[in-house]
Amino acid sequence: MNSSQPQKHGDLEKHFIKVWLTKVMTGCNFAGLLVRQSSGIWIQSIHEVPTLESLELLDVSLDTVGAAGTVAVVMFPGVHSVTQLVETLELLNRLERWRVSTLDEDEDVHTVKVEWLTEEQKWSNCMGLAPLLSMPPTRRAPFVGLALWPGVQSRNEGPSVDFHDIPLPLDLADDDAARRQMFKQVKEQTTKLFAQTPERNWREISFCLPAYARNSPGF
Amino acid sequence: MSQQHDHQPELVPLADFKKDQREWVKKSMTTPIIVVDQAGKALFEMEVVREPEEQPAAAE
Repeated sequence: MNSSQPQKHGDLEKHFIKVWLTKVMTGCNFAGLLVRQSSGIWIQSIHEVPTLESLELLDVSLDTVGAAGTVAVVMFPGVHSVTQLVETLELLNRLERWRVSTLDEDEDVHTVKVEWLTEEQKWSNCMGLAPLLSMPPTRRAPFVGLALWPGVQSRNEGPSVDFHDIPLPLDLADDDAARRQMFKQVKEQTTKLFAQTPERNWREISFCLPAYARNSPGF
Repeated sequence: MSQQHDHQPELVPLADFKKDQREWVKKSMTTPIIVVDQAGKALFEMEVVREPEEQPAAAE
């Protein structure tokens, strides 16, 4: 094997993923804030179409990343179609610590929720990412992926965790005005991006798939 | 452009990764890891993205 192959294989993907995460993701300052704090964002890219074996390995990785207090993003640059995305979700749904469910039967889109069970036994709401027009504008990424908080619950209550449980950097944690200002900016920017999209609780939704994907048998 | 790690990615055979997964994932927090199969083909990779680096303005 040519030893330079692996590095070359993912270079373009990594470039796109990093630029998107640091400059574009969610259209807000929050992702930028995450990459500025010392823990950063942990990214795993699975190059090929995911298999049960490759997905099974995620549990231990996410537990480790969660224990380190870092946000996780799992990218699937090998997934190139809605069919492959649905198949990936079906595989995840077969695993003990993943739960994939249909949210509603909208006429135009098939909304899906993906959750992962943390070591603390809380369901972490996953933010889905995909290069699909059916996705909310802030979730249209260069590749299919899942972003999640794999760590402990801190602000939420009950059986779930999400990005609200991420520890804030000290400068924001200690500064109410700065924190309020950042969340205000996030809301304004997100509202602009959602201008042509009906209002709804996007945090609950991982993927908005084209309507034809609703015939999927696995969830 | 986001910050590039100082370290070159470390190639890890899948069998080694599975044997000590938590330690390899911990290592990926500081050094990019590329997990390869027996033929040396990259299966997946992991790393941490941190603060974007300001690029100096190009000289005219």
